[in-house]
Amino acid sequence: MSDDRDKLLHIMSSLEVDYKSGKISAEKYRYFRSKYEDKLNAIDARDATQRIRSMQGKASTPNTTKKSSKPARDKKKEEQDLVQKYIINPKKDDAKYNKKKKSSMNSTTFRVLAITVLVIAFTAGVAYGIFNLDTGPASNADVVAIVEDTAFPEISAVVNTTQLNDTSNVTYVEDTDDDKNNQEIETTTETTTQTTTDTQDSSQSNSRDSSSSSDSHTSSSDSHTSSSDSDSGSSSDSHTSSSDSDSGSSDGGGQ
Amino acid sequence: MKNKIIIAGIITLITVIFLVSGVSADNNNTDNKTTIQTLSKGGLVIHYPSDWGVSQAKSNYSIMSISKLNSIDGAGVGQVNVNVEKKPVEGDFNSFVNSTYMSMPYDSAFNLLSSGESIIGDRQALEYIYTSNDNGMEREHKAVWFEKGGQAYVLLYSAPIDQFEQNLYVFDYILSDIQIR
Repeated sequence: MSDDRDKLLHIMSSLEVDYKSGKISAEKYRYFRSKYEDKLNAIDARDATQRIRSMQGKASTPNTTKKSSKPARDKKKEEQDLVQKYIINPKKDDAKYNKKKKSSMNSTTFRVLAITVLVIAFTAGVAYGIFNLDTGPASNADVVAIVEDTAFPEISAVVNTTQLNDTSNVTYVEDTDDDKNNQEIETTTETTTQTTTDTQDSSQSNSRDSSSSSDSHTSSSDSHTSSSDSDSGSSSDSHTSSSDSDSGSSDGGGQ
Repeated sequence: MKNKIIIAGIITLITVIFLVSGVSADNNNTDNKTTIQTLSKGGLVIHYPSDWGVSQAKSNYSIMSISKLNSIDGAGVGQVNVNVEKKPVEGDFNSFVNSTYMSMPYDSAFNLLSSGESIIGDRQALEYIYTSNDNGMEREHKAVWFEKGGQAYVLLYSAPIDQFEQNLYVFDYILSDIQIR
């Protein structure tokens, strides 16, 4: 065993020399060095195991026959366990020692705790989402009030009152001719009455506005027309009566 | 030692989770006061604060209307409100809108304060501000008109004069955020 160890140490030292002299690359050096170190550790562990077994009075090579049947990995693990048990932690008893089992226990506990934390975090996340979730409908159809205002208001347009009363009485008296018998008296009575009454128009919306203005225009026109009619009517009437009286007077004159 | 560190870490993590949950819930409660509601009708989508509610307008031209909740009087009328209406355009849009306010100078109950152009979304709009007097109650109105598909749309914000300015920001927010589809 010590031969192997010495050999390994020698190889490692030659590896070191080769690396320092630049014969091998750093990558190869690290690879071989780690490999040799592993082997060296394995040899050390084996030596320690043998020493312990010899101290316990057991055979120095109990697994010689089993060596071929057991995988090398299990053996190595067993050796490491023994080293751990009797060299690294010599004061601990077997029950407390089983680090693998203890580690397994811790791992299980840790897993349970991790799952608990994840469950709590998940629950907290879901709760946060529910709190932030807008459960209200996108369009709230519940009517809470009445709105009376409108962009098409009812506007009452009040036009200022204008009253125009023009009444004139004109009496024309034409001079009589020299002939006294032919006295001609012409009397004309002209009466003009123009009255514009209050116009109150309630309009709502544009169409009503436009119709109201046309209504106003029409009524004004009507008023004017009727005024003219009345004017001409009275005038003609007056004229007629005047003629009548004239003719009457002339008749009278004739008589 | 390692286990203690793990346990301490777990406890710390749980504590942090609870703290974050508490702060989130607190923020959530705060947000409840200022959540934004959505109202979508007639090709328009508006967003408004949750202290306003959907209302029923008396106008036949109304598409949708909202009122400020604390302005609703005993008769159920929202004194501070926004009413969205539409009406087919007769003739030219500008003339159509102007004709609405043409008669205002002749009615002592109305007083046209200002008029001008503005933009709503990516559309040209006309803006009118006027006051009205209804049975001695002075109200101020801001109407923003725009045309879409042969229809004249108008958003009318109305409020008592003393509450007009302080709630105008909601109307401005609605105008800035409106979606016209």
